[in-house]
Amino acid sequence: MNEPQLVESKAAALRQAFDQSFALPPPPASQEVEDLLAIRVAGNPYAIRLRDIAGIVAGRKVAPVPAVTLDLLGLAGIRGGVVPVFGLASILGYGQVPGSLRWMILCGAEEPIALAFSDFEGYLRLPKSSLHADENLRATRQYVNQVASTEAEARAVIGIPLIVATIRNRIGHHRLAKEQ
Amino acid sequence: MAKDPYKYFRVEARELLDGLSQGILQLEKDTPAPEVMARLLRLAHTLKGAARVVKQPGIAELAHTVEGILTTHREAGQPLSKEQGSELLGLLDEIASRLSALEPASDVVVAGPARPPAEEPLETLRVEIQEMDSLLRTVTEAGVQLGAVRKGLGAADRLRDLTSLLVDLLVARPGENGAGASAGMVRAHSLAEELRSSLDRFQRSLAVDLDRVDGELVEIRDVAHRFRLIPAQTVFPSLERSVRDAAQTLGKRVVFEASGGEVRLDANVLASLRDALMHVVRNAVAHGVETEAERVALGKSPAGQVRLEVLRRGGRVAFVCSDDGRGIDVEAVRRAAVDRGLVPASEAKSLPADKIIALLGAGGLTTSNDVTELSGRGIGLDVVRATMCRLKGEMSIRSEPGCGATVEVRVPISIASLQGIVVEAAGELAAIPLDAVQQTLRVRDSEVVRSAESDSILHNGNVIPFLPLDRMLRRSGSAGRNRGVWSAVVVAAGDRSVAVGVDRLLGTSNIVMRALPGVVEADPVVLGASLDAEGNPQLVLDPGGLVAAAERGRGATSEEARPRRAPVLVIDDSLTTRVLEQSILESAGYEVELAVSAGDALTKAHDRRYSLFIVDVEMPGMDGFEFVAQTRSDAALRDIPAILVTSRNGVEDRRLGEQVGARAYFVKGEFDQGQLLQTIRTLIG
Repeated sequence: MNEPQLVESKAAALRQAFDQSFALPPPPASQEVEDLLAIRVAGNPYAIRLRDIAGIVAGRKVAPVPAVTLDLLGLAGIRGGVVPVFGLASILGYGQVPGSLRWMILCGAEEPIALAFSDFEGYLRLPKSSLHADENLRATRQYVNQVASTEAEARAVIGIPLIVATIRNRIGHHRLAKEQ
Repeated sequence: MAKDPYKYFRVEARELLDGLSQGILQLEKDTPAPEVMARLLRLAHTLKGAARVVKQPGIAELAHTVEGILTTHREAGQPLSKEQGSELLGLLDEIASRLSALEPASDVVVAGPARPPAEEPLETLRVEIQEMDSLLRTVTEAGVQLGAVRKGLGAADRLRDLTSLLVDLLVARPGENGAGASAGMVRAHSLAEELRSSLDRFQRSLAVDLDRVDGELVEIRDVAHRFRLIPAQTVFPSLERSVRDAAQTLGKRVVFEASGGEVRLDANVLASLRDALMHVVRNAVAHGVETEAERVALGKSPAGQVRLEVLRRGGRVAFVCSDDGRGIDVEAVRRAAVDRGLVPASEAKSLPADKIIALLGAGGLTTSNDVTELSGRGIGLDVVRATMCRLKGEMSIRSEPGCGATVEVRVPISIASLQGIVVEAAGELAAIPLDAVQQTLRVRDSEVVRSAESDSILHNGNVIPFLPLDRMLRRSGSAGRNRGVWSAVVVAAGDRSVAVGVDRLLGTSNIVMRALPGVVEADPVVLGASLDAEGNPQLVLDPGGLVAAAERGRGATSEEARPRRAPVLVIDDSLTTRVLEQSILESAGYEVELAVSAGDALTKAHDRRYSLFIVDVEMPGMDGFEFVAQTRSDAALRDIPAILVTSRNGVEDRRLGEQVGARAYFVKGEFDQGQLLQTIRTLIG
C-alpha cells in the first residue's frame, strides 16, 4: 500500500469511527449517575464527589508555615498560585498519619483550598441509587453524609463542601475573636 | 465611520488635561522654569489642534484661551497668582466637562469640576485585574513546566556519560582474534563517537534555548507585575488639587506635600483609596489648618501644611495624612457624640481624649460649625470608614492640640514586588525584605550572650536580640545545638534590630510576594509567600514581626533557656479525666493546673495567666459551651485558646463548639493522645 492509499484508508477508518459514535446509545443522563473519586485516608476507603472538587494534583512540595490554623500542613504552589494545604486524615479525625501525602484535591475556584491524602485509587461512576444517605451517619460523623456501595465494597462519601465551609468559618471565628 | 468618533480624542485630551492640571499647580508654587512653560504651552496647543481636527470648536477655543493666559504669564516670570491658577483650572474643568458630553450614550461617566480629568493615559488598553492575575499565574506555571524540562537536561547528562563509557569500551576492546579491532568494531566506535558529539551539541543547544526562554519568561513576569501594580504617586495630583481647591474656597493658605509615591499597590485598591483620601485631605484643610491670620497669631508659618506619607507596613500599605493645624477639638467631639447619642452624657465626661477621638471613626460625627460644600456634614470620615470596610483596611486618628491631627489608613495588599535576601533554616527557604536588612554576619556560638529570657549578640557596640530562624518557624533545626558558627542577618524595623540566625545565606532575589491565603492565620513573623523558580512556595518574613518576636523572647537557643509558658488549665468535674489529661500534658512538658467546675476555672483564670483551657462540656452549673462563650467575650481571656474534650459526639455539639469559639473538639471515647498534643502544639507551641 503506497502513501496516498494509507492516508485514504486511515481517513476512512476515522470517518467510520466518527459515524459509529452517533449510533451508540447515549450515556445515562448526568442526573442519574454520580461521578466519584475513590481514595484512601489512613488506610480506609473513602469517596469524593467529582463535582465537589476543582482538580486533583500530585507530588507538590508543601512548605510548612508557622500558624495557629488547625489541620494546616502548609502551602503549595498550584497553577501559579499559593494554595493552603490541609491534611484530610487530620480533618476526618485520624490525627497525624505517617507516610507521604502525595495527592491533593483542589476545592473552590476563588481562594482554593487543597486537601492532601495518601492514596488515590481511581474513578467511579455509580448510579445515584448506589448512594445511601443515612441520618445516623450524619449524627455521628461530621464530614460524612452518604455511603457509596459497589459490588466490591462500601465507601463513605466525604462532604467536601462541608469541610471547606468549616475551614473558612474557623478563620472567621478566630479573626472575630481577635478583633473583639 | 467609527461608532464612537471621539474615542481617541477623549483619551488624548484627558491625558493632555492631566498634564496641564499638574503643571498649573506647580506654577502656583514656583517661578516657572522655561522648560515647564514650554511643555504646558505645547500641551495646550496640541489640545487646541486635536479639538479642531474632530470639529470641536468650543474645546479648541477654551484650549486657545489657556494657551493665551500661559503665554502672557510666561512673560511675567513669577509664580502664578491664585486667581490666575483658578481661572486656568476652571477652563480645564470646563474642557473636562465638554469631553464627558462626548461620551457615547451607553457609558457616560459623571464628571464635574471637583473631579480631575480621568487618569487614562494615551493609547491604553484596559485589562481586568482578574485577567492580569490569570496571566501571572499562567506565566508562573510556564516557569514551573520549564523547570521540568530542565530536569530532562539532567537526563541528557546521564546519556552523554553512558555514551562516553561506550566509546571507551569500544576503544579498549581488541578484535576477537586478538589481532586488533575488527572493521565492525571500528565502525561501532565511530558511531559511538558520533553519538557522543551529537548528544553534546543537542545538550548545549537545549541549555542555551532553555536559558533564553527562561529569561523571556522572567521578563514577561516582571512586566506583567509592573502592569498589575500602580505607584501610589498616581493619585498625588488629584489630592493636591483637592487641597488647593479646598484651601481657596475657605480662604486659607495650605501647602500639600507627599512622599512614598514609589510604593506600588493594586490598581483597584488605589482607585478606591483616592476617593477616600480626597475626603481626608479636604477635612484636614477644613477642620485642621487655621486661617493665615490665626496661624500668624499663634506663631506658626502663614501657610498650613498637609502631608501625605505612603509607607509599606508589613503586609499592608499605610497612607498617613497629617496636618499642622489646630488638632481635633476633643470637647467638641465629646459634645457631638452625646448629642448624637453615641455615648451617654454620664459616661462621656470620663472618657479619655483618645477614646473620644476614636468616636470620629464611628460615623456621622462632625465638629464643624459651618456646613459647607467641602466638609461639615461628617460625610468625609464615613466615606473613609466605608472604604476601609470594603478593602478590609483600618483607620486610626491621632491628634495633638495646637500641633495638628493625623489620619492613618492601612490597607492590605494582595501582591507586592520587592528585593529579598533568601536564607535557609531547617531545610526551608525564606526571604527577608532587603530594605530591612542592615548587615549579614558570621556569629560564633561563643559570641552569643545567653540569658534566661532571650539570647543576644553585640553588634556595632549595641546589644541586640539573637533569634534562630528555625525556632521562629517552629521547625526543629539546629537551634538547640552547639553549632560553632552561625550565619546571621541583622534586620531592622523602626529603631529596633534583631539578628536572625540561619543555616545559610543564598543571596538576593527579586520576589513577587503574595498575601497568604485568607484561611491561614500565620504567626506574625510571616509577611506573605512567593513562588520560587520551580513553583514552590517560599515564605517572606516580616521585619516588624521578627523584631516583635525578639521582644517576646521567643528565640532562645536552648530548651532550658526558653521562657516559661503559662500553664494549661484543665476544667473537668471528673477526677479520672482531670488526672488522665494532666498526666498526658505533663509528660509532654506542659505545666498543668486543674479546675473542678467552670466557675472555679473563671476565678482561677482571673487570678493568673493560662496558655490554654481544656474544657469538659457537661459539668454541674455552667457547662463547657457557656464557659468558652463567656471567656470569648471577656477582653482579658479571649486570646487564650479553648479546646473542648467531651463525651458528647453529636455533629450539632461540634457545631455549637465551633460557634462559641472553641478551637478544637475531642470526643473522650475516640481520644487520641497524639492528636490532642499535636493540636495543643499548633495552638500554643
